Amino acid sequence: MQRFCLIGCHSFAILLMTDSNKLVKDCLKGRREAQRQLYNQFAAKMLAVCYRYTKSVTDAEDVLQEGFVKVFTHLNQYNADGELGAWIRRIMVNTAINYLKKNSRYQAELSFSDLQMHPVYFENPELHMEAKELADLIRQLPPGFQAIFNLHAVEGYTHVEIGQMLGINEGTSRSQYSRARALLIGWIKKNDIDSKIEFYGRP
Amino acid sequence: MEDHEFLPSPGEDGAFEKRVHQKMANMELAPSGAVWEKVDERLHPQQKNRRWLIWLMLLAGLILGSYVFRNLFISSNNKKALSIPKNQTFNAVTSKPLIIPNKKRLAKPDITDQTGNSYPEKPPTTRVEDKAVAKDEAHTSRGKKMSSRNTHVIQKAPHFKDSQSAIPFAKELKKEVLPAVKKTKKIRREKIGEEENLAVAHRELNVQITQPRINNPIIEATSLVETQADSVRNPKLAIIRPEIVPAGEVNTSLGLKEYPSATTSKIKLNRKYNIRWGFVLVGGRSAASSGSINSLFQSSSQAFYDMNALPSGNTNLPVPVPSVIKAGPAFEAGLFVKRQLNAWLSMSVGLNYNLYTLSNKVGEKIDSTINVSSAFASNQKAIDEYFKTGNSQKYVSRYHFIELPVLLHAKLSANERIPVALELGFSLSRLMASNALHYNSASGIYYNDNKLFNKTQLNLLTGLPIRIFSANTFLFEAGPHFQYGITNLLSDHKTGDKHFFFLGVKASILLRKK
Repeated sequence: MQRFCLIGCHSFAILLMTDSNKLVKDCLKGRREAQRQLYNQFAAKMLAVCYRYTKSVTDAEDVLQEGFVKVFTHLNQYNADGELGAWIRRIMVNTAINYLKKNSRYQAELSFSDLQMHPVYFENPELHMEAKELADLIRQLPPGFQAIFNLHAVEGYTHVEIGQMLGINEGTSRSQYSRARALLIGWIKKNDIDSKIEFYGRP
Repeated sequence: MEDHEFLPSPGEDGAFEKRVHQKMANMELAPSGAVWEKVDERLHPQQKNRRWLIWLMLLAGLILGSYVFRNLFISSNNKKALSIPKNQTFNAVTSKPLIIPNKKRLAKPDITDQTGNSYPEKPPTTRVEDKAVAKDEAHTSRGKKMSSRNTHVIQKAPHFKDSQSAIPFAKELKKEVLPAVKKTKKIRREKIGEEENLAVAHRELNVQITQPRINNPIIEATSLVETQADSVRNPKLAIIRPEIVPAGEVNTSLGLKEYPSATTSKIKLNRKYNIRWGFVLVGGRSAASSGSINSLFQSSSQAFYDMNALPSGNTNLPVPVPSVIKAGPAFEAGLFVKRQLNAWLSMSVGLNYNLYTLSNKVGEKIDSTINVSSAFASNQKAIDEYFKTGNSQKYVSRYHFIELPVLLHAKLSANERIPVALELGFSLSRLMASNALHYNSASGIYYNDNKLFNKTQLNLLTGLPIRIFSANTFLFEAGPHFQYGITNLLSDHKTGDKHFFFLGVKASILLRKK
């Protein structure tokens, strides 16, 4: 039975990849219907990615637009070995980082100053909130903290990779991330307390 | 990172990060519709660019066609007549420009005006100032106002007893003036008024020669030209360099005839001389015969054959007769450029591709070389493939022409109540390719030899286009079209006299400016 399930999953995965490859080929031919289909397939998730890096929905849509233009422009560089969604996600993240660097509204707050002393929290609180609520909390962080937290905690980049992407030291990335993590955990806890008070009438 | 999986850094538990990662992994937000529109617009901007490129190419073709049309079919005189400055004032009655000759030219050389200007006896310069005549307070001997502005020189005017004796002098004067005018063709656009003045002056001069007493400001300006000894009106002929006087500034101090348009408002020139282009499609039947139009509907003509290539040997034997030619479908397609000449007439020049077909019965095809004798050459000619005489198969001969038609279109009603026009013209066509067969009576075979054709054809065209549909951007016309080849289709009359006929329906679409 397990073998059949594995075979079924494997076949389904192959089918999905075949459909993705066909979609990519059609997009490379310039067919607008295929491009629209690819956009519709990934736009919602990618907007969520862009939303976490920016401070407004308008900025997020600007990043999304820029990102998809890059996707279609460089679609010929996509290697069919990897997952198409992951490839598009990486493009969106890079586009978001570039957007933060170039946009004047974020440049002033995008500081990666090296914090000599940073608090270390080993807490791992539970997350009893919706994804959008958590995303909104992440967006409350200063832009520098926000970017580093997204890159490490959500996207899974190492601090070495983050340092290369943002042009900072690995240590700076670590310290910035720890600070961001501490802030976020504090807000999450406060949010949980507020929710309990609201629901139960007491913390 | 190849896969979206969190790897905790040293010192990190990673549990919180994993929870955040899992929470964020499936988060979705719906984008607005404008995002895709902008993405699509950025991905496919080439279409708009291509449209501009197409319009640019069409515009370039139109400009080139109009330039060729203008230089080939419009004379320089007509150019002068059509290119009239915007500030031109016209006589509402005669539709002639309102011109007032320079008054000083009318003066006798021995009359000096009170401003003290002298008039050297030199040929006039070609330089003309097209500004308004300045109103001066100079007076003549009669106390009348006279313009002292004179940028020209006048030739010493001879005395004539009467207007008739002045005609030879006027003709000689024309010969002198016109070459000088033509030499000044390089004058810029701002001086077109000058050329127009000259053309008008030329016309005025002609009027003087032919009808010296009608509308002749020179003759009518008797106050200055009267001599003491002669009270007869002397047409003082001089190089007239009339100046354009804006409306309301008519100076009648010389007793000149007052043109009615001087008191009327300016009449703007109606520029209907626009050039438009369109495309044409014709379908019908073509035939080749010695002259009868019935060949279009009947098989009355024999195939092209060499009557002089008689079979050798017993001349009492009957000469094999080739099969008859049947008319076949014909087709024309092309582009044209049309220019309105006046309210009634327009002219068009085009470039067409013509396909004419004829058919006749032949025998089986033989793919081998044979030598045929011809009246055209003393030597025999080697033919690689040929058809035997017979009726076993139908052979369709195709003639591919490139044609340059020139047509004159005349409306039957100027106000377009009757939407029918008459078009007449000619065309020059060149046979580019053909698979037509000639019959050699000596050998009794059909073979292809395009050198036996007269490749350059002159055709007479006529038609009755009817306006079917008219819109803001285009005009659709259709109607019968007839074409006759004036030149012989065969290069040597010894082989016969064949002319192409074409009768069909012509449909044309003329594009208009919005």
